[in-house]
Amino acid sequence: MIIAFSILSVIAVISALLAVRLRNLVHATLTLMAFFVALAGLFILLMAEFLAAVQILVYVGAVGILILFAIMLTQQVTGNVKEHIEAHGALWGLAGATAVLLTLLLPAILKTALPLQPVVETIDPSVRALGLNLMSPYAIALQVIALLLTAALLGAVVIAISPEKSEEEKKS
Amino acid sequence: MPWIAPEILLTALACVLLLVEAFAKPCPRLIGFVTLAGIFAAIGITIATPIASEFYVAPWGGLYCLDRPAQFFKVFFLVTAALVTWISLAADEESLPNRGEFFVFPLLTAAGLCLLASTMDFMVLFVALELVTISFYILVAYQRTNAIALEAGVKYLILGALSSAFLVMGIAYTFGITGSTQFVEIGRAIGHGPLPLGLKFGLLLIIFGLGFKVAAVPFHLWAPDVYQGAPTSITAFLSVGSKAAGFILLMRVLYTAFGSAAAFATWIPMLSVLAALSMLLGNLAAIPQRNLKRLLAYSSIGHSGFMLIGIIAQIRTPGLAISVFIYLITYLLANLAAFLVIAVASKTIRGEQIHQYAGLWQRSPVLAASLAIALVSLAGIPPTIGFIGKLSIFGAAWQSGLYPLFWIGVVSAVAGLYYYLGVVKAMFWSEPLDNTPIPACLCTKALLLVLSGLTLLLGFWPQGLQHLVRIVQS
Amino acid sequence: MIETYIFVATYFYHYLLIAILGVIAVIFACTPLAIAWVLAPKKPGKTKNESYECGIESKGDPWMQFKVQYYLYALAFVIFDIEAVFLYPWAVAFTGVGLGGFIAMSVFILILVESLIYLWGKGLLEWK
Repeated sequence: MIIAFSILSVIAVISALLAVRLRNLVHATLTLMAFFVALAGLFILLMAEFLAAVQILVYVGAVGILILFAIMLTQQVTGNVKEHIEAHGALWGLAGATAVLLTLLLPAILKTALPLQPVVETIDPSVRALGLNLMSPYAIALQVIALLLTAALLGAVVIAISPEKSEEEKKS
Repeated sequence: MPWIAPEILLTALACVLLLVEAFAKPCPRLIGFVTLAGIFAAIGITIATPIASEFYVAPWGGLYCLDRPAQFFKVFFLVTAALVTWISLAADEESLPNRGEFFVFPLLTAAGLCLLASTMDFMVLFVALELVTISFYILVAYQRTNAIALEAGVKYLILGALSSAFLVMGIAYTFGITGSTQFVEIGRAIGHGPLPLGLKFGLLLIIFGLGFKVAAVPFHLWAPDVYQGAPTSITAFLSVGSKAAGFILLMRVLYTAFGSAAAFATWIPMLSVLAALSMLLGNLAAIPQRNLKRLLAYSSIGHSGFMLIGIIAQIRTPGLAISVFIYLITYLLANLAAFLVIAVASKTIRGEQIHQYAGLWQRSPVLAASLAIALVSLAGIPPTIGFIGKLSIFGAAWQSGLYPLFWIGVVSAVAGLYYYLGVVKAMFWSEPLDNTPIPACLCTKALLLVLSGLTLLLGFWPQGLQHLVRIVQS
Repeated sequence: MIETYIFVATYFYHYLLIAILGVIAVIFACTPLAIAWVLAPKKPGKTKNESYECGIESKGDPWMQFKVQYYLYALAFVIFDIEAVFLYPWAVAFTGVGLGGFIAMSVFILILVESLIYLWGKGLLEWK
């Protein structure tokens, strides 16, 4: 467990750093996908199998492809631009993040007696329990998700297709 | 199933219209009229549905409720959606590409809003809110070729995604500590004890997320640009529908899930700061605006502040905040009338600058009179319904002993008079740039007459409004 | 208590197998490359670096710019990928959800099939 956790976290941190620092956008995307895989491994260690499946299927499979597509749509791919973006606010950002962590998150985590009620122990994180909940009481949420995906696809269509093109189709 | 019949009707109609649009390619206006008919049918069903004797709807215990406030908000959202479709038809925004699909989104949005009015669970809340928000992202950026619309769309998308992230993080904290996503269960888990720090943090994040939806300061930064860049009918939808959704959610979450005395002590200071800042900044920043849609954006930020007072003031009485209900009715009538006038007028005058509205009275008396009544109502001057709204909010604040908020509200309302009446003055007492009359079709005039008539009638006869609200309260 | 222990142990045992498989896959792919790199003689010359008999000299940057229309395919892929993700818990819980679950999932899929038919009707599925 500890060994697996250490290996996965090292892979995650290194690939995340590379994703930010690499100049070639395609390489950055590939390291980002490696980061997603490592994260899926961490989810498996937490026994959250569904999250791991989502991470692999949606993030590595789909979002990674989407980012690669987006990069290929732009012209400057290799990032051999000479000008270097100066990170002036890096220290301030670090200080701000640390302050938020120390003043808000850590006390919130430490002072809260978890769980507030024994109900938390009865929560079953398995995929089967998720499926049962999703089908019976939360069926309404499932249908709303389908509508949401339809709306998103429709939006992609109406915004991506230029009106000239649809007029051409009408003529032909 | 009759409880969610309006939602099912709207989404089924949306799916059918999509297929019809793809294969038959009918005239876009026809799709618009079918949309309108569908929304009216949904209104009829909602009003006709009897309220179940038990609070919750059976198959999804604890997820979905159909009480009087839910019914009120459903009708409110559906009326808004119908008027927005009407505005879009009246404005005849020919420049919009893919006009046929444009009318499908209000249907999906209305279905999402109706679901939000009834949700009693954070999961359903989140997915329904995302359905509404994603539809709005698309609607705002609909005029893709227009740079201002595109900027508005990108800003709304990025800030909206950020606020959704805040909201879902807050939900995660709340779920992690209380072990439930249902409002009633959360309220039971909190009990009467003090709030754990993690839960306070979650509450803060949830208020961040919902504050974005109602455009309260300091989460208002998107509002002016988005209101200005979006098509006028969509600006009307955002300013009324999206905002009211934020308020019903605030009421449900804050009164049901975080309804203990310890929780009050946590969120009342937060909301008080939001309310005071929204009222002051909204009304003061509106004064130098020269674009009418931008001015109404800042004014809507100010109105959010007034309604937040209503939410805070009502905690000592049982039930949901009545003054907010009254205020929302006044806001709906005035705001939609104003945007209808802008949509119709901008067909002729090609712009929304205030100086272009100079002498509107000589060019189109109906439009000028309606816009003037709407603005006077938004300002809260006596013979209109807006005065009743302001009065009920300030009355609730005074009775609850919220004196600082009361005085900040009064000062902001007085500041608001200046810019609302500035527009009225320009319309009636300034020389017009050119004298070409502005045409408006008969249905538009009739609708404006109804909206202005209700604004004035309910102002003279507030008992009607009180009667309606008493039905909601029961 | 002991049941929980056995459950957790089998859970991790299954994933351990997958992890070992992953490691073997990486080794299997990398070893030939490494062996070639170690054993192969390295004497680069001008003629050796040219493309050998197959194809013509490549021109310009290998990173080429795509047409924006193709982005739609990527977006549609994401949408239907998310649909597939929701099929997973449904399939796992299939024996327990009964007819209601079947109907719920059918409606879910029908709504998404409807959007696919819309794409088809609009003529957007033709690769141009």
